[in-house]
Amino acid sequence: MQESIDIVEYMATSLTSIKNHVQKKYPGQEWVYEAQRYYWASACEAKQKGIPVVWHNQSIPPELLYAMGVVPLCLDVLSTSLAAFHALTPKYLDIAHKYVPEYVCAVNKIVIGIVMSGDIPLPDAIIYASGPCDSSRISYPMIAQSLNVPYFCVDAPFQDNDSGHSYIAGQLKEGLAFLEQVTGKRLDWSSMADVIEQSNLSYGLFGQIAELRKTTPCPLPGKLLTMNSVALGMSGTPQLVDYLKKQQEQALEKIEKKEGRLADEKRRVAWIQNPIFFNIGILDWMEKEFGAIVPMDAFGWRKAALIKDVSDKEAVFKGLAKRSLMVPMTHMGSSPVEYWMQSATELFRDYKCNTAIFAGHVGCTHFWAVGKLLKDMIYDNFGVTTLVFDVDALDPRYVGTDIIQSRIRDFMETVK
Amino acid sequence: MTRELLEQYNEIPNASIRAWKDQGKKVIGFMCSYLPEEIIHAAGMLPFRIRGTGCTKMNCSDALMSNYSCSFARSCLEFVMDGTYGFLDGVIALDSCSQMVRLYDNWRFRSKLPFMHLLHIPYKNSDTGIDWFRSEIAVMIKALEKTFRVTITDENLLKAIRVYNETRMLLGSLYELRKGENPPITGSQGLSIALAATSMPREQYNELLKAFLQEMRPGESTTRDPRARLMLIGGSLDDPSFIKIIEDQGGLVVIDAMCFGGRYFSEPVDENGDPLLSLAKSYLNRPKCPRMMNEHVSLFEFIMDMVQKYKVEGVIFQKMRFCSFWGGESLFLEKKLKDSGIPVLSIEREQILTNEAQIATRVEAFIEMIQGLA
Repeated sequence: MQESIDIVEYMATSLTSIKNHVQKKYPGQEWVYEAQRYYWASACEAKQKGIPVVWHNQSIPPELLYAMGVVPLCLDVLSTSLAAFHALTPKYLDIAHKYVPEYVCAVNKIVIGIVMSGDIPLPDAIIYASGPCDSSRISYPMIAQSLNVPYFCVDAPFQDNDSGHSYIAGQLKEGLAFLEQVTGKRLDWSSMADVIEQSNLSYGLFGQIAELRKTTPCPLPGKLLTMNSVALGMSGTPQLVDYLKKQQEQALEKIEKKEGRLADEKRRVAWIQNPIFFNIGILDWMEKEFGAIVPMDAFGWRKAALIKDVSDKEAVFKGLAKRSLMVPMTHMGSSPVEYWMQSATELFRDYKCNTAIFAGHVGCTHFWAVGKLLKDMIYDNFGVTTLVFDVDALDPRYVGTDIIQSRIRDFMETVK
Repeated sequence: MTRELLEQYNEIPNASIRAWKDQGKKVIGFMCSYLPEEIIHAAGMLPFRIRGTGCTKMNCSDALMSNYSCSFARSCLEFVMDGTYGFLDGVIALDSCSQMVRLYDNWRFRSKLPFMHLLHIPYKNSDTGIDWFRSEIAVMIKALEKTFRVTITDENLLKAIRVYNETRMLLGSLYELRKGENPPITGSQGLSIALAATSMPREQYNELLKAFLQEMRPGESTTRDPRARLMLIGGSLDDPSFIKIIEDQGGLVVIDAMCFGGRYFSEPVDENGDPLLSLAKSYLNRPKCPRMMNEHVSLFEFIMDMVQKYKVEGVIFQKMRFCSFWGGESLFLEKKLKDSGIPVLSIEREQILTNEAQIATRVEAFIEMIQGLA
């Protein structure tokens, strides 16, 4: 029987230790972990400071929560970040399997396990949107209803046009009214304008970094793409802006020196499905072993979704609605397949990828169901064969690192 | 007459659809019970609900959708790929679940039809959601009118609503009879009759159902003294033989909460006022599928209401493997049912029945357990 812990405190402590370790061993590189450290430390300290904590899912733009002065905690970021700490995820997945079938996505099962184990302090409220996938759609209401905490659902069907954006904007406004009521906080529009300015900066940087990553050789490591998912919980903060500025600086420096992340870049890999959250080091291994770099993945943040007029409330809510649909995963998981195809096409056309890997997460049944369409499109349009294998992106017990490496090695040797 | 009604579901396309096509008329497939069929009827076309009844192999769809997809969706795609659905002139998908959207994606890319439309449904039932759904229905109407050069008038819509309301009333009468001690039909027959509703011209169906109801004599029953009165809940079940396995063990399915069955016809459409708004309201207000967020309590209450009205002694919860909605619903629903003192048997199944004996054994044990409680 494992002891009960406070998982938020655990994350805060772990990230502080990692950052300190990197600071000692690789001075100057600690910025890579600073944004994450700040994120978890804020969540951890909120209760002591008397600041309301609001749980949300990735389809809720955190900008809304920061603007209200509450501390957001994105549960999807919690489970994907925790996956790297192998000691705890099996416990939570095993608990979740008492309640839901194994084919529910581990991103949600880990949260269900944490909630059912009582290893997390309860929030003041929960707000979630109806994206990005069926697993999320069923899990969040269940999580909310199993706790005695006020909750609200923002309806966000994937209709990427003015009608859809207006409907979701209206839902976000209803969500705001709910949060004001249950947290006692009022939205101050000048705070909203500040937060949107910060988020515009980070979205702008994402767009610029994405452009720099098109350079051959690619200036940045693949694993930063996965680490960027912290933006799901941090968009609107200056800490995210700082983190992205460092990435941009590093990329510019490399490009100026005419260097790449790798001294000898042999392959540019289109990673077209989920990152392997339980071991993002696999991307480092691919770089070292095969000179194979992931310049961009199909999930990556690429689009500069800017909200131009922060004084226009309607435009701000519509802009947040668009962001809700366009964040990684939602824009491919909830949408018709063309969005995923377009995303993959850019990897070959703009990022000059010459190798494709579909590490199909077993919880993403919606991706598996069109994986063949995508694979055929890539072959027909770009003449590239795709390596396909199944993995639970958060649970190494399903398929471990050794097996994944062996599959990638066999493939790399075959397509030499 | 009875036989004709009970056997309509069995063949795709059946004789009535072939006769309809022979008259040069169009058939539109649709993928979910949230589609207001009245729209297609008002356009002078025949709505046919896409299903995989009788699918015996999934060689092609396994390759296209993988084994991680729900086998209901795969069976439907198999029928697309082997030409079974060659009689369709168009198809309307709904984003009811991701597997249905992916079925639609595969369909569009592998075997395009003259008309293909994705209708968006809100995930919440609210006034704003109803208004938005109404506007999405209006967009779909325009697309239908443009492709087939037809006009869907309010008058035709009202006529269609009346025809479909008559079906709701007739099916309601049939289900009402199942509340009795010895219902006149089995659960397997009940599903066959409900499946026929979305498989043939609706006026013809209503006539058959009316005649079927008149043929039944009070007190006449083929279901004497069942060992247990059961309710069936869960996802898309389009195969009456699954229920037959249950009933062969002596149980009798007297009611269900499934989208091909009891949840299909329960909400009449208001015949006054704006027909599109009435349709939007009715379809979103019907007993909920777990894809509707925050409606889990109302689904549970609907089930409990049926349990009481139909004197149900046990609930069988059938879950299609890889259906996240019904699989995830377990967390809430099974516990609530058990806490309410209702015995629940949870069965995971696939579209192609390969474990009949295992299901039979589990149902047998469940019925014995219920009898032990009596």
